[in-house]
Parts: sequence; C-alpha cells; structure tokens
Amino acid sequence: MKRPYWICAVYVVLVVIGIPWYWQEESTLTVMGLPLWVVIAIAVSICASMFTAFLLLRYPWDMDVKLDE
Amino acid sequence: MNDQVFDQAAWIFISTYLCSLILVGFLGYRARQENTLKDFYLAGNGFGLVVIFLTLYATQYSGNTLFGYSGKAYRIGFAWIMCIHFMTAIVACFLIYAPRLYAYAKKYDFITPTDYLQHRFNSNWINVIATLILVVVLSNYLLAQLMAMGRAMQGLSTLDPDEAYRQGVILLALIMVVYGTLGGIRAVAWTDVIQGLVLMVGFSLLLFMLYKQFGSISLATNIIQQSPEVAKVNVPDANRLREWLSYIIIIGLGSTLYPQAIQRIYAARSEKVLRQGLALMAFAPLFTSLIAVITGIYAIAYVPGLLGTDTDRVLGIIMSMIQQNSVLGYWLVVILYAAILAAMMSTADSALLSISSMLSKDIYGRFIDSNASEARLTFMGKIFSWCLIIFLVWLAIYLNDKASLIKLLDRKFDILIQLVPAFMLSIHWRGMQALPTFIGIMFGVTLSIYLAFGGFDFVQNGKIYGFHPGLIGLLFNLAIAIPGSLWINKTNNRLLTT
Repeated sequence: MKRPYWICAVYVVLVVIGIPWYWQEESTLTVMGLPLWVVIAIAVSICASMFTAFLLLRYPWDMDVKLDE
Repeated sequence: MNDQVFDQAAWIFISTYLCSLILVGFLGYRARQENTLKDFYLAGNGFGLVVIFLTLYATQYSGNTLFGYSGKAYRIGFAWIMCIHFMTAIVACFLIYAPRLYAYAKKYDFITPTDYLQHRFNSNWINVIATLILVVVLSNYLLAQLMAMGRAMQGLSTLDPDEAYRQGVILLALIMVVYGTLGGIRAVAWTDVIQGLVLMVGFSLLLFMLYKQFGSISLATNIIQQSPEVAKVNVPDANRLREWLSYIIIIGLGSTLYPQAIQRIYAARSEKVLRQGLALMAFAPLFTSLIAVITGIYAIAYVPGLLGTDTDRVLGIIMSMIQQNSVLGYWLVVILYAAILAAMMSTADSALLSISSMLSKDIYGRFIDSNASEARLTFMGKIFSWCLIIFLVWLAIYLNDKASLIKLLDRKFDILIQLVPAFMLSIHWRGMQALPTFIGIMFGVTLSIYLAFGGFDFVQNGKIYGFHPGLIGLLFNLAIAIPGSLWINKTNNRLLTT
C-alpha cells in the first residue's frame, strides 16, 4: 500500500499556517471587523474542511486489510 | 443561569418537544427486527446518510459547545477560535483508522469498541483495561451532561434553584432512559435527527439574533479594542499557542475514540454513507463552534465584567437580552432553549447506550455469563442503563455544589488518548503485540494522572508548558508499545529460525 505521507504533510502545513505563531502579539490589523490572524485561522479551517471532505469523497480508502490475519 | 422566564405557551412547546422524544422511542421499539445486540445497538443493517450525519452531529456537539465554548471565548477572547481547528481535527483523525475499522466491523459483526481489540489482540487484560477506561470516561461525560441539564432547568424554572436542578436532572434523565431502552440505537439516532435539526436551526437563529440585537461583529471588535479587554483581540502568547496545538492533537485523536463515535462507524449502512456523513461533519465546526465563539466575542463587548463561573452564563444573559426585545426574539429564544436541551440529551443518550453495550457484552457476556443468549445480553444492557442512570442522577445531584470534585473528573481526554496505540497503531501494524500495548496503556494513564494532580510547579492550569499531560503520557505509552513489540517480534523470529 502507498503511504499517504503527502496527506500528513498537507495537514502539517495547515496547522503551521492556522496557528498564529508568526504574528507579533500587538498586531492590530483587522479585516471584515475581525483581527487578521483570526481571519487566517478561519480560512485555514475552511481549507482543512474542504481537504478532509475531498479525502473522504474522492481519495480511495485503504480497505485492503487482509481481514483474516 | 437564571436568566429566562418562559410563559405557558413556551412551556407547552418545550414539553411537546420532550414528549415527542418518547414517541420516537416507541417507534424505534416498533421498528425492531429481532431481539439481538446487533439490532438494539447498531440497528441491524445500519443507517443511511441523513441519520448518520445528524446522529454524528448531535452526538458530537453537546450542551458544552453552546455554554462552555461561548464562556471560554468570553474568558480568553478570539484565541478560542482554536476550537474550530480541533473540532475539524476530529474528522481528519477519523481518516487514520475509520476505513479499516469499518471493514473489520462489517466482516466480523463488531458491536462494541473492544470487539476490535478482542479480535486484534485476543487479550483479556487489554479488553478489561480498555473497557474500564471507556466506561469511566463516558460516565464522566454523561455525568457532565446530566449536570448541564439540571443547570438548564434552573434557568427556566421559577422554583428554588436547587429544587429546579434536582427536578431537571431527574425528569430529563428519565425521558432519555425511557426512549433509549425502548428503541435502542434506533430511538437514539432518530431522536438525534430531531435534535440535530433543532440544534442547527438554533445555532443559525443565534447568529441572526446576535446581528439583529448588537449589529455587526466589527462593532463588537472595535468596542473590545477600546476597552481594558483589548488583550482578548491580540495574538495569543506563546503558552496559549502551544495549548492550541495541544488541543488539536488531544481532542482530534481523543474524540474519535469515544465509543459512541466508534459505534456510529459500525452502524453506517455502507462505506459510501460513512464517507459522505463524515465529509459533512468536516464542515460542522464552521456553523456550530464558530457561532459559539462569536457569541462569546459579542458578550465581551456588550456584557463586560463577568468573572469566574459566571462567565459560563454569557449565553443565558445574551438570550435574556434578546428575549426582552420583541415577540420574535422571545420565540427565537424558546427554540434556542429547545436546541440546548437537544444538544445535552442527544450527547447523553448516545453515551448511555454505549456504556450499556460495553457493560453487557464486554463485561457480563465475556466474564460473568459467557453462554448468555443475545436476548439475555440485550435485556441486561437495558438493566445496566437503568442502574447507571439512577447512580449518575444521584451523583449529579450530590455534586451540584461541589465544583472542585467535578474538576477532578475532568481529565477524560488525557486518559482516553492512551488508547490511541491499541486502536490506531495496531490497525495498521500487524507486528504490534498485546503485552507491551497493555503496559503502555497502564503507564500512560498513570503518568497522565500523576502529572495532572501531582502538584508539580511546572504544571500550570493542568498543562505542562501549554501541553496536556495526556500527550506526555502518550509519548511514554508509545515508547513502551513500539520498542516492546519490536523486541517480542525479533525474539519470536529468532525462536522460529532456530
């Protein structure tokens, strides 16, 4: 079976971008009435939801489990 | 929460809603096909997409999502946006093991989570420890829901608060156990459909009401930025950011191991239904958790000054403000209140059913009466449901004013996550062995509890530099289970070759 490392890599990237490690604490930028770092966190969450839904609906599941072993 | 006062018409609406749940339980009883565990706990051939999605949704989002998340957002501000990340992580973590587990479950007719462990390890030690962990964690979860039901009733009733709490816990628990033991998973899942729909409508209405009452979220943000609470808009500090990552891992992995979640994987009618149900769940945080956070943000701006446990009342206070504004607002709050009851009951009934299945099949059927018929085990499951609910109702009433004791019970994810190797790793790695897995679980649980309650200086607010003790326990758990299994495999191979 092919190891789906790229899937793990995508989730790691999403976590790295979604958590605001790279912002200065006193940042006051706002977009649509929300702090920019919050908007990015929400946008990343939407991307994560879409990516997860894609995997669930389109990516072949690993069901080849040699069930009797 | 004593913030709402409802008139007779509102009470008739809520009572009708509660009675409809018993009717659904009766319909579930009528729909049963045979008196077996599979029929009672997994609905025979399983559920279609609508039921699977709504039962997953109603079970996942509890009363805590509404009260707890809005309260937490009130306390820490925008940083609680992390909750949409960890709720999304739950669905992503299902991808680790749900496909294979589903395949196993269909092939071998699994009923309870430990059926998989029995098949995989054939070890009574692992079965017993896993069942104990799952039952304890789930009982804690169920207890929390019962207490939340009592608190919700305190807010609705004009009775003395303690009396209202007692009556609320007893009445709602009674309704729940009646429909649960009548119709089993069918009743629970079908009531979840009603409850899930009410919950979704309730959340949507809440967003609409917030906008109508207070204006846009940018106004609220501006008010906070001009207030002494400005730190709640700022980027979180390093400790909070580590906590953010810790939550994603521990709740993402831990929530997928809830027995009721595993049994819903078993209960999907087909692989396609399971895939589609989970895909819909991936978007649920955006229209549920996010709205709870927004509620907390509005509350920082418009209901300032709450401290301590009062912060969990922000939703009730905001609902009270909306209720007094117009007739429409009043009825929207009534529907929202029904949604809150729905959220609590749908989570609690699923937990109760899962516990009864484990006590009946994994303990009674395996260790007490191994020759018991399916009908007997189903009957015993119902008896266990009643006994457990009586005990937990008593405990919920006893613990009403003992918050410190409840805190002691609130380490469920730290304990639950210790089962990750047994379920998620073993399903992909055939070399995993029973003994090191068992020792790993024991060590992980012990270490997590010791770190959480040991009174160490480096443990602040139950976390170690922002990380949950359960994650430290899991690292040691894996450090025992993996090398131990490798060593046993190597030894076995050597014996085979000589």
